[in-house]
Amino acid sequence: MRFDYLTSYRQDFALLRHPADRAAYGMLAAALLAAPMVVSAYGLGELSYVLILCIAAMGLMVLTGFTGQVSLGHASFVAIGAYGHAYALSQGVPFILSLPLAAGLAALAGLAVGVPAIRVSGLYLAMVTLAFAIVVEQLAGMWRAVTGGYMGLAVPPPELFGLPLGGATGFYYACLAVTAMVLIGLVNLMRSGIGRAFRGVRDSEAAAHALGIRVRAVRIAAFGLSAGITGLAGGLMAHHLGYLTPDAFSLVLSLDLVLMVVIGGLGSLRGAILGAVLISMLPNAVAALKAILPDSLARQSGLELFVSGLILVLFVLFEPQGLNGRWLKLRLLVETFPLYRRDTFRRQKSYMRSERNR
Amino acid sequence: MNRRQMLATSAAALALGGAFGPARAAGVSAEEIVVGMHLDLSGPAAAGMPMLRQGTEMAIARANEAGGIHGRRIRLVIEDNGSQPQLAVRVVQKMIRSDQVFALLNCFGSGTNAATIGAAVGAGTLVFAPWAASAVMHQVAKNSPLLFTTVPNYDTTTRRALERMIPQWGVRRVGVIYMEGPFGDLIRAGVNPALETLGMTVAAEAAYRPGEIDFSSHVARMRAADVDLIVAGTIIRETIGVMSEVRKLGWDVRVLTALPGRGTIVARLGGAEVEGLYGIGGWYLHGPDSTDPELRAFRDGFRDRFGAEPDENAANAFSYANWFLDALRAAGRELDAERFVAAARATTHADFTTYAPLSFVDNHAMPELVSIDRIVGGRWIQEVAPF
Repeated sequence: MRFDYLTSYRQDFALLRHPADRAAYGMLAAALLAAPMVVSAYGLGELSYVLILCIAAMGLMVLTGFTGQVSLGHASFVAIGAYGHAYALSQGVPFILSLPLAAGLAALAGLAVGVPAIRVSGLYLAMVTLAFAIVVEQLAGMWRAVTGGYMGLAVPPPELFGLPLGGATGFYYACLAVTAMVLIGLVNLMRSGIGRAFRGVRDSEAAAHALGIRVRAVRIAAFGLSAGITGLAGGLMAHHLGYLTPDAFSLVLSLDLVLMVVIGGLGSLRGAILGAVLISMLPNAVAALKAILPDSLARQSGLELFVSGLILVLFVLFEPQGLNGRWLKLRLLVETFPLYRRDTFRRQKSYMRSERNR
Repeated sequence: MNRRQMLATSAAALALGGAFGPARAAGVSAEEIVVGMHLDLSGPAAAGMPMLRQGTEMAIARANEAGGIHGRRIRLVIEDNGSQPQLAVRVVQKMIRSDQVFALLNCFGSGTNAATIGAAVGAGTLVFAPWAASAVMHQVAKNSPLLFTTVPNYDTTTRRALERMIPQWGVRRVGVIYMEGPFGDLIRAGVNPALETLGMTVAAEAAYRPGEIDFSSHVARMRAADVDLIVAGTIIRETIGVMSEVRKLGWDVRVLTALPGRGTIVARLGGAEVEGLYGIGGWYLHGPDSTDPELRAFRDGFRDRFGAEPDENAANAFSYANWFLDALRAAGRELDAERFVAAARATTHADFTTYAPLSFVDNHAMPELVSIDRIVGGRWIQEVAPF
């Protein structure tokens, strides 16, 4: 066990307090920066895609994990970001401006959804967001002048100050930079007053209101922020796809995002990243599994669905705190060995149950 | 690498090339040719994929059993696209960059192919017979010579059939039931110009959403407009749904379904309700008692290999794969994408599925002949020979 002896407020503010943390995250950053020298072009493409999903999962985590609002329609914000970015690029807006523009557009859409969403919560909110996602998917199919309709829209290759980013390495670094910015920004935001207000609203609206937090404004702001970050992921996703059709932003993507934040562990950004890595690598894992399985089993259709369903069920049953919870337990086990107590992590309060006290 | 090293390396490469023959394309080694295929193995269309896969596998297995193509075996890499463009992009990148495939063959899905074809031809990989709207694919690939399409276009085939049949049947009022989305867009892109050339307009239009099962309002709208031909831009379940509504009303009207609705499964599932349905056919549908020797060989071989009856998707996948193999054969032992393109353009293809010998015109299989078939006694019978 370690007890911190702090001599200044600065120390208390530090994101990484211990030399071991700094070493670990420094090594991670170095490994990610050096990846293009080691990893093949295919591996880099996969890494870029994982990073894009990390951004989208962090966006949903702000909403579902930090303010307790469920969304089954986050694919629509990915779509708005992607189409907005592609349209802006085709109109000659440079990449560096077009990406934040797309995020802003998605954030506006998020605010628009947030306004009716403050009147409903829980299951009903999930239905509102689901309906919104269906509307956006239809709109993407119908609004031919902007989205190219069902026939699709080609995305111009990314360029930064005249430098092409279309290659595997360039695009990887672009994704890495955006992911790092979003992560650092959110980590800081979530420990600021805004983040505490988010969590207050999640745990008890009544208590938050009593403490002077404007609950409705916070809920709408969370929607806008979440949608904006997801839209940013959408802009990068447009380059991953290269050609946009509405079926890229179907319910499957929304559900994948929900799976990521739930399996990752609600209420932690690390969880969003771990969940995104796990879910996005699932198809690769199933493909590897198929190679070992006997032919008759491997040829069954629906193996992917079965595996992802099984993982979700196992997590809900055995680790409701998700990958992040498991990680924290493992870390504490190592740190305090042999004094680890299981009861340290006993749930004292559940986020879902807090709706009762509203 | 500095310039001197580069020169030395390229000199060495040239020397090696002189000793062992010219440089070969990706996916082509001394012993094998790697071919990629992505299908929806886990998504909404997964149930239909085994036929597509087995038809392709059978064509390739037969070529390998006969000693391969110019001594090289064909190795097929199959990946899952789940009908999701994101996943398709990833598996195509894997096939191009990691497996280094020479070509993509019989890949399934409109959105999945649209998202991947540009990258594939950009990387110098051939794309042969994508199962998607052919004209759109050429547009996406910016008319790259590396893309060869074989699936008949829904718009041009519908137009061709209507321009012939409307005067022949003496039809005066035409109604259209179509699916909202890319499929419906293509059907209407065929119906509208056909009617324009005939100096007519659409009397009634009704759109449905994917997944809709009740067609009473759509058929009622047709009835209210008093049409004497319904063009049904429908797939399997919707075709049957439209026909059973027409039956329920006891209405004696011609219903003509476009290419996707003219399948054995519609006749089998629809039973008595689809009796008398007309369909536009783009390839031969053989009955179970067909005596075509090529078909029999295919059917028996398929049954021996997989223990199942092949359907028309298996037959088409088999046919397209054979065309691909013929083009590989014609390209010769020294194989690269350029030689393949030249050879494929010179091939003609005819087997038990084709209406006429096909060859590539602007990299699309032509001529697109259509027949008019009708369900009689639970089977598709050809009414008007291919034209």
